[in-house]
Amino acid sequence: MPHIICCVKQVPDPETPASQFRVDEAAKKVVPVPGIAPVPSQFDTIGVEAALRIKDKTPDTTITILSLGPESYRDSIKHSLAMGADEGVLINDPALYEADHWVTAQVLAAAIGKLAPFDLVICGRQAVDWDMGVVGSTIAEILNVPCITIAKEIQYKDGQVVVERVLLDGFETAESPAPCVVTVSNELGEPRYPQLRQIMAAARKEVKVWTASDLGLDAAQLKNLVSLERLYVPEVKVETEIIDGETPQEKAEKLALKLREAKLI
Amino acid sequence: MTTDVSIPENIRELVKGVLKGLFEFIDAEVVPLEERDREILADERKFFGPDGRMVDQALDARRDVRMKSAEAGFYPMYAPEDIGGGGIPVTAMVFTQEGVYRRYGPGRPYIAWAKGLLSQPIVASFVDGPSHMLASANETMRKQYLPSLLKGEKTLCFALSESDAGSDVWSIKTKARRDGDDWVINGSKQWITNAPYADYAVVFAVTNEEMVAKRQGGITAFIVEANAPGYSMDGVLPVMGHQGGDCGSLTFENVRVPGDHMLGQLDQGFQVAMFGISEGRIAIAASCLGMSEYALDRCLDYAQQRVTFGKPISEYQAIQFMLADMAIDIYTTKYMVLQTARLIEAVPQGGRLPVKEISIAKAYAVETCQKDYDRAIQIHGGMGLTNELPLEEGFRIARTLRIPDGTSEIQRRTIARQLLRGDTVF
Repeated sequence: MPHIICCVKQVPDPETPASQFRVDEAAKKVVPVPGIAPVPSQFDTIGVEAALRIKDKTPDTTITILSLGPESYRDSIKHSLAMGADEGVLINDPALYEADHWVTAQVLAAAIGKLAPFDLVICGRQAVDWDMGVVGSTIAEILNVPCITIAKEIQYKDGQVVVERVLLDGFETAESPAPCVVTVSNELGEPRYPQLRQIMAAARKEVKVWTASDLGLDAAQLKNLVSLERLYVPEVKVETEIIDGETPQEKAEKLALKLREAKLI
Repeated sequence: MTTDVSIPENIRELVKGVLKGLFEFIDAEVVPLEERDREILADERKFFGPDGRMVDQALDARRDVRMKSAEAGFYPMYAPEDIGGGGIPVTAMVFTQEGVYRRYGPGRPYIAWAKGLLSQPIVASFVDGPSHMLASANETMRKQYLPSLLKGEKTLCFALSESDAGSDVWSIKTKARRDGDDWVINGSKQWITNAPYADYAVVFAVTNEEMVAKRQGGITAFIVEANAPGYSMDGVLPVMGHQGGDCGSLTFENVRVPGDHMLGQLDQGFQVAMFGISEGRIAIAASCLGMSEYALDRCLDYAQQRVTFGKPISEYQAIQFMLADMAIDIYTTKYMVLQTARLIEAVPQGGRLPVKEISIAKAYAVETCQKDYDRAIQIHGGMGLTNELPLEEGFRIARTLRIPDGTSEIQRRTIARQLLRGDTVF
């Protein structure tokens, strides 16, 4: 009975209109937009989809959703359960709310250890808010298991994981014995949308809530390696220049010269 | 993040899950269809044929949406579980209708109300598909008609109104007479939503004139197949400047119906009708709430962008007052509709039937929605009048809704009658 653990992070909705996106520079935090709910990071939802495709072929697979964050992260766990996952675990400890990638990976690895035995850990290739892209491989390092990154397809059979990876100029196939960690990319395809029956079942399903001490960790001993120095929205200046000319050819010629002058062509 | 305390705790996760699932469904399945059909959606002369009926491309797209939504469980989600629906509680229905209209707005016929169409492909109501009203169907009817309705493959229409009888149900003239084991129906119906496209009609006909005269029953709800000999759809009735729509007239000339093709009991069709209409009223109120919120969202964006006399128009008190009035309407409507939904949910536990509250919610929600769209158009100026934005369409929809499922005047009549009967509980 394969056991897959999917790590899911909740992020501000990337569809938030730019006009409403604000950061609190003093607090170095993104200001939540009222009325726009945060969403599961898209790559993580694709990871859940990858796990569900394995479950479609091997129905006795158990999929556990694991998330580290405050109570509101429960929404992303419930969404994954509504897609078809089986269990949900939320690590909710105020001492961990400011965790960087290193602390996050340590906590997730400890939780995965507690959820063992497992065959596969699936993470998104990166979270779509900070785009660091290191938690998945750091978890593998801590757990001392192989890691295959940027997958477009994952197959699992008889304790063996076969992954098709996305390269800059093509694809490659990698293979690893389970257990291992795989990070997935958007090339895997669109995640399924939840069905009403599963939404209703997910609403009733209990999500386990753990703290650092439940994982045998001392939150005070977990130190961030990265500190956030400044958080700001860059100013974008747009200047418009109308190119005059009698004919389209003349306008095009002037435009080309301007672009060359600006070293853009 | 703060918790949305407007959603009762017992349904909070259900509501959030349904809204997120439904939005994902619409974005994945419906929006691509809208992009594919951009040309016909942008021009009613291409969306409707010369007879006012939707063209095949539009009809196919709407059926496709219904069937995919049904496959995902959303299409029949308001219908009770014992007939195969989702059994979503009324309060959750309010949040769902509100959420859909707030996000997608009016004027998108592959999603919900638009172009004079008052049926919603993404989720059925009593005017076109599975609803609480069908819980009164007998076993034979359930087996024969429910499967295709639940799948969204077939649709029905609710044929109650006539040229001289709408809210005045006791004045209907369509009659059904016994002939052996069958019933034979004669008469005509008017203003019937989805009549031009329905596969079946729930037809209300007089079966006992004495009972009708005493207003003690005598009306029966029959399920009639649209291809039955003698059944004819006389034409589309375009409304509010549209080129077509889904409102139509029906005529029955000796339409023969088997004896058990009924909803509810013989002579008890009035209760069936009122059940359907009450469901419709609260759904209309919830949808108008979402439509008003959509309008306010657009106004807040526009008022902060549009600059006149050197500053954004949001800084002018005249505009601020309109925004504030919209917010007052929305807040009042929201909690009025929610409280009414809670009262409806309490009926099976012995609560009173909130007759006046349903009427208050329906009348208030559609009237404030119309005012809010009027304000939204005013705030947008010339842009508000163009059909580039769906504000003028929202205004037309809100105006339309003051008529069906009981006019605003009929709602007030109901409210006053309840008061005079001693129902003064608030």
